[in-house]
Amino acid sequence: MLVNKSMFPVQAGYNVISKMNDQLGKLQTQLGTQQKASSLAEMIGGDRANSLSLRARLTKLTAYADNMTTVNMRLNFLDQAFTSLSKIKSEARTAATPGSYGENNLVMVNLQKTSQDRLSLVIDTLNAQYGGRYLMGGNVTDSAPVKSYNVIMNGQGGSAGLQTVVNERKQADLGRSLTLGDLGLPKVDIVSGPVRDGDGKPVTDATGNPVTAQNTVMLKGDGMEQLGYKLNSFTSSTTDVWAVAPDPNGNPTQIGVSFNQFPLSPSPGDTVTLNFTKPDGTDGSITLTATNTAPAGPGQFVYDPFDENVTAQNFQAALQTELSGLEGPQLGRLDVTQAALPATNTTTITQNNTVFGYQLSSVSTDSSKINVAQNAGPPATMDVKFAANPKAGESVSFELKLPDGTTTTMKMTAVLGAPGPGEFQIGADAAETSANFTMGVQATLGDLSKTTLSAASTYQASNDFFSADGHPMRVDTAGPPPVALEDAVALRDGSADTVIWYTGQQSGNARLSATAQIDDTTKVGYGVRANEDGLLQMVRTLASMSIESYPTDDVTSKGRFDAMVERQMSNLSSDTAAMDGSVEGISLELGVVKNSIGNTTERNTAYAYQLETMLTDVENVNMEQTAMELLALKTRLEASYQTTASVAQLSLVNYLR
Amino acid sequence: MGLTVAIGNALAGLKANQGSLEVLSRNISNAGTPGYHKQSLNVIEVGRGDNSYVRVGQVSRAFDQTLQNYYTKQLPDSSYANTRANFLDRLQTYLGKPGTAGSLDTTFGSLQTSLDALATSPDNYAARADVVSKAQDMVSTLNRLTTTIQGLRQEAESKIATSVGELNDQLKALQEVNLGLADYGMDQNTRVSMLDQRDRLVSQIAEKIDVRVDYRDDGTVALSTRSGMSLLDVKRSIFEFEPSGGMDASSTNSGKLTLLTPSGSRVDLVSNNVMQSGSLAALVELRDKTLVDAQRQLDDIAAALAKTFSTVQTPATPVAGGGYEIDLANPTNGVAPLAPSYQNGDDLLVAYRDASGATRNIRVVNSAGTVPPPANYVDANGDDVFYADLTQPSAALSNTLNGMMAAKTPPITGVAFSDNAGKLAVTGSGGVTINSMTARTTATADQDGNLALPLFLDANGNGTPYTGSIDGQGQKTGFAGRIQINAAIVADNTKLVKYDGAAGSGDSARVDYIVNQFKTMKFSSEYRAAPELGNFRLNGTLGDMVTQTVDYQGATISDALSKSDAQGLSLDALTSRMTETYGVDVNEEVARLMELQNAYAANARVVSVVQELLDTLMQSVGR
Repeated sequence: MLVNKSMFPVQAGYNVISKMNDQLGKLQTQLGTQQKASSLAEMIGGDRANSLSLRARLTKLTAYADNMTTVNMRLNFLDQAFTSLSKIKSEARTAATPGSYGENNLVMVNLQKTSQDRLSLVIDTLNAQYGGRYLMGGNVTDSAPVKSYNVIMNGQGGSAGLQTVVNERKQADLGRSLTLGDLGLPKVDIVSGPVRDGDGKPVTDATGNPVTAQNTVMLKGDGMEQLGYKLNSFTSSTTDVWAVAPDPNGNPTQIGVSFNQFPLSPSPGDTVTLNFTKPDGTDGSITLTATNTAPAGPGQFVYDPFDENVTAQNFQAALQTELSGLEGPQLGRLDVTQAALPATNTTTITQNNTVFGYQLSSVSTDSSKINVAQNAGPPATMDVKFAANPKAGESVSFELKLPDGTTTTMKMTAVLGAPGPGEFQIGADAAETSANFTMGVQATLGDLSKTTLSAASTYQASNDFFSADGHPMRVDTAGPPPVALEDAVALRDGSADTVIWYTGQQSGNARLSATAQIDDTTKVGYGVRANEDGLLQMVRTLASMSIESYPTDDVTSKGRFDAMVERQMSNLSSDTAAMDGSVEGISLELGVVKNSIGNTTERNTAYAYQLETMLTDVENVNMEQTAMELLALKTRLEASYQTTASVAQLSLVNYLR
Repeated sequence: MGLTVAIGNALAGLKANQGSLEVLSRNISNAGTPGYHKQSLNVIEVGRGDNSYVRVGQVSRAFDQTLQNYYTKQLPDSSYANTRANFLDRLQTYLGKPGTAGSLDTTFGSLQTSLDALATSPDNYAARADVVSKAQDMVSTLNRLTTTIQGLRQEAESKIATSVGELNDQLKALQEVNLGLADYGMDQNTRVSMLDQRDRLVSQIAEKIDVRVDYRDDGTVALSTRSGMSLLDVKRSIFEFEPSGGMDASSTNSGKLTLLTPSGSRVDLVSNNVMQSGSLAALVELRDKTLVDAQRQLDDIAAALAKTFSTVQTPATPVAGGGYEIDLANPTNGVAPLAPSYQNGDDLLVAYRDASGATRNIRVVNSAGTVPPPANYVDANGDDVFYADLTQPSAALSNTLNGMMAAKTPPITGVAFSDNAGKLAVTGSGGVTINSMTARTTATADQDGNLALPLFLDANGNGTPYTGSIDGQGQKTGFAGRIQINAAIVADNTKLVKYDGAAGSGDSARVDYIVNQFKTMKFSSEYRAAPELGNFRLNGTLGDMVTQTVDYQGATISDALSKSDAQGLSLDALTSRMTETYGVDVNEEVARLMELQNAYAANARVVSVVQELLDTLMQSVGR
């Protein structure tokens, strides 16, 4: 016989009690967990659907809140970084102005070091990382986007650093140094003049008249002095050769050596030394030794004991040879020549057809006697023709374009006396004036090359190295055919052998390189690329300033300082705030993102709170109500138990005896 | 003479009392036995003139045929509800309450959250590892649920087998009881207890299968199902069950349940829908419909999950004049990254606005080489689904598609496919504008430049991408049990972010694409729940489908539980009626006992008094 719960005679009464017990258990569970239902099927249909969709929504909101927390932390970090960058930018901008070199040239001397410190700080800031994530590399966030300061400056392994690139470019831009001989210098003549003794006093004859003699080899300073050379004196080891001291009234300087001492003549081994000062301020000398064996070797001259004419001529030739090897100006890849026939009295400046050096832009004059002309070429040339002598004070202005895109003006003013930088002497006739003009242009270009062109070259080299597209450009010397740096004609892609300063994301929308979903339809972008235009320019400028040095004993330092500082001020000026990717611009955009995140956070918090309240309503029980139900049920159950017990007793069997 | 008559009456009375006591004692001792009907003794007065004495009649057994029929009708219903409730209650513990750890919707929610966090920090190893781990949670939840469901089905099978065995035993016993009852020569008391046994057996059989009982005059019964199939009529029918051996998601019809009638014909009980109620019917329905539907819903979720991650969408190029064209063999026209080539199950989606302004879609699913070609249908969103070979040349393809559109009732007008130099072009006319045409293929490589990612693979073939092909039984069937994570991505979780070798580590393009897919990619299931379960179909985005599944299963289970409660209540009511009618009331019996005791004592007294009187008579006469 099977005992089956569904067959009678199961006492229905007991069934009800066990159901009440179940209910009691359920109420206790509800009280303990505060949830209406403890399993899926216990939830009533409407509650279940509501609960599911509310929970799905809340999960999403929690995810967004987490996202916003993460992004906020990153944004705070970026905020700090950009504040620091902004500070550096304005410091650098106001650190130096052209013309103010500081007390004892303190500002000028320290400029390189302070620029290096700033660049180092900027590089560290660009490599900012938070929680292992690099924030300024675009979407490349697992490695530092910018190379370290040392590697950038000095290179690493087989890759060249900024220093090397700048040096190469400078050589290519400045071009070859001409020698004095290339310029047709020096001017050495044999003249007759007053005989002077070893102390420079004119020798007078018995009558007190100054003695004049031929065979004085006179070295004229024009040209050389314009190039910066200072002729000091001739000295000789023997009194048989008399030095002729400079003419105090001479302008330019003229010094000479007299061989008119017949029957005295130099002996073999006697030396004549020319003392001069080089343009960079150091002293130099050339010594010529007399010899009686022909031909003369280098540094020697053959004397003729009987004919002082010959001696003088030999000395002149030897002096000319020695002096013409001295270093002249660098013309920045321009050719300045006296035009050949049939053109007369014309100076021609020819531009080279490369990206290096000066480019001719325009030429003008305010003199009626001078004709200026410009030919497009190629190669482009400018002609300055002197029809007649101009008046003193009239000028010719050249506008030259520099490698970094800036322009400079070179003004040549006519003067009557000895010409300084930017001046040319009016000679006896147009031909001489034209020759002086050529000389003046060459000297001035040489000055300009060491200051403005050098600064422009450094900046452009820095632009090439810190390229926007990740390919640094170097001067191409390989060809074919291989050329020297000074003759280079083009740039090449240096990615293989140059340090690539930035290895993050190269291009693409910078802000969208790091995004976060903060709401169903709101996505914020807070990515930054270290090679964005504004940041790139800041790095380029500071790097250029870190490379260039201004030694106090270099006369070109001040000029170079001015040129460099002028460019720094213009590159870091507050006008640049309007350009794409500037420090200020990025700060502003990030600020907007932070703002929108703040608003969304508030909105989401309020919404989440509402949803949680609704969810509580749907899923949770009212504690008081449950307690009351529990109490009521307990009472009923107790009553049932009692009743059942009494009823069970009520059986006739108990009462029969 | 009067005295002899008196003794005779008294003796008859004593005998009657004894008989009554016998019945009464039987009643009291069987007061708690299930299935015992109260018995009472009929005491007949036999009267002929002065000789009116009592004779023991028949033992009558309390039996109300109407009540019994009602009970027999209620039993299978409540047994059916109980069986369903028991099975489904176990299923709901695996599904989990929404919001609790391990429930399907919570697991899905945390997968979404981890993807959102990854989009914000793609370079963070912990974020990527979290995504992989949450994806594995999702996979193991789906696998576990599949195992559970298939386990429940297997259990249902084995329960069917044991039920069938019991049923056969019970029918056999009932047949023997019937034979016994048909024998009039049986002694009464035996007969009465056989009747009890008969009722017990009928009740037990009724629990398993719905029966209609025919009570014959001689007490035998004939059983037949409510649908009219005879189970026992002198001879019994034999239930036979062939188990399927192994149960997996793809075996939708398994284990044959047949009835062998005495005349030798076999009836398939399942396909002929013979059983309408009872635990057997419940088990069969669970095995074949309810649990299979649950499995299908899980399969839909798994398929949607795999496709959300791995679908590469390539839009067609617009042509002048408002149409679109695409080269299905080369959807990106050679531009990298190339779209993966079409596999069975990939589709082409054409969205258009018809003349009345409603937006509709046509989805052409690739079914190259599937024989026989599957039937086109309209899905839950009202969109048309066509099956065609998308790898054939576009001239043939456009003819096929145009033919399919024309063959519908009503035919689709205004959309025309054509061939344009090897490209498939679609144009709208007559007020119909084509909004877009998108080729949707499944990514097979991790890092070929496409933003989609085959994160979830099919364990068939040791890890093939899931395309949803309908070859054979369809790749979707049982996919929830086969879904697994791509081991290459577990080994190197940067593949979650890097869609090709050169992508930056902080590039969130791939993750953003997947998060967007969660929001925008819509699916529509082709499985329809059984009509008695409401014809329900899943559709919407993956999140929608998960919510719908949990909601639907919860509703079904809750429904089953409450039905079981309701049936239990009505059964309780019946049983208490039966207790009243058939049950032994001990108080009543004991009161009767008292009466009988007194009556017996009185009868014995009568006998002894008469004996005394006779003795006195004899004494007085005998001197």
